[in-house]
Amino acid sequence: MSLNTISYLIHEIKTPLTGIIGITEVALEEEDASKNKSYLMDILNCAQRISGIVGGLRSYSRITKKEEQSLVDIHKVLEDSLKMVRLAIKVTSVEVIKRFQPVEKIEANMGEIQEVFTNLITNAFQAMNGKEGRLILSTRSLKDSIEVKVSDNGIGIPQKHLNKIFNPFFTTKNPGEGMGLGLNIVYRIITKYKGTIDVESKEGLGTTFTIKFPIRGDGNGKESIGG
Amino acid sequence: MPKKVLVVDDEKVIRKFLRIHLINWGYEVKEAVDGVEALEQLSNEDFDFLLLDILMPKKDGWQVLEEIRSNPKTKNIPVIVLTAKDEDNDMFKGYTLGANYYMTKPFTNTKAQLLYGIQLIFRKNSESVNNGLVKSPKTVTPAEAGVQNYLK
Repeated sequence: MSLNTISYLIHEIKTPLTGIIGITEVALEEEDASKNKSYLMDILNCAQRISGIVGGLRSYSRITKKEEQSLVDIHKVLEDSLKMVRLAIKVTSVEVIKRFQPVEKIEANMGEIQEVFTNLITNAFQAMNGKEGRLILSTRSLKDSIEVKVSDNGIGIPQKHLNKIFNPFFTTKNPGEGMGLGLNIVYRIITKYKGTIDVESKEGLGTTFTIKFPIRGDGNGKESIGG
Repeated sequence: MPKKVLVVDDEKVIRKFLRIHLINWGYEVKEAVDGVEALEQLSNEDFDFLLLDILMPKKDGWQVLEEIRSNPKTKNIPVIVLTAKDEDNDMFKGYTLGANYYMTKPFTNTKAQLLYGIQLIFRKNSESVNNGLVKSPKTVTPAEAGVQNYLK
């Protein structure tokens, strides 16, 4: 981890810490007990931000370890990821279209592949926030790989940011909404399995991430799963 | 008439506790969530001093400070920088660009540190810039009296 990264992390932790200390000082002097709930909510929000940073760092460091691997059904992962994100983010007006073709299973750690798609689907939902959204999840089998596309019709990514989005700690989100580790974790997991990820985006129109996982040539993973 | 303060910080919770302290001390408080909004408010209204964060979206505190000091209308406004950037070179940059006081986050005792900063900028202004911000002890405002009492 570079010195710049460490400086950034220190700043990201100091900010909610300042909030916790500042609001606690106010709460300790507050004579009107009815105001304390609002102060406690502020403190909780700040503490949760720090907790999120620590959680993100844990995921970041865990990827380098060798985790248990199995044959992973990518359609099941996509369905589960979608359910998890829907539970975490209350989105009402997004239409989800699934275009699943038969693809082979991939040998990988289930939790890591799930992390890839929960991150991408979360970003897609956030990009479509406040508008009639459409999320398309599609899969197909290629000669030596399987391809998964995650497309949204959200706000899109400015061209000037496209070459930075996989960098650790790059974020355009507001303070407290993300520390810029999600897509870096996605990238690191995919490349760990010798896969690739590409992004196409137009501001105001939407974004498509295309992920390819290689298929092993020794017969493992040849078990096909239906679309 | 109470002194008017502009609090510039992209963090809602930090603006909140600063606002509570300042209002308790008798100040009128306005807020800006980024550098662009701060400069807009400065062009429309007169403020007696600013609390200015550095790392903010759209336009950071360094740029805001530079623009404040290069604009004849705002060049004498006292500015207290409040930032997590606590390296010596950051502090040096802040004072070089024209900060009157530099506070680093997290604050260990917000009230005392802030009151000290406010006291200091008033004192500096009374010594160096006769811009009407600081009155003689006989005409001290309730806010200034609060500052002085707290520091005694």
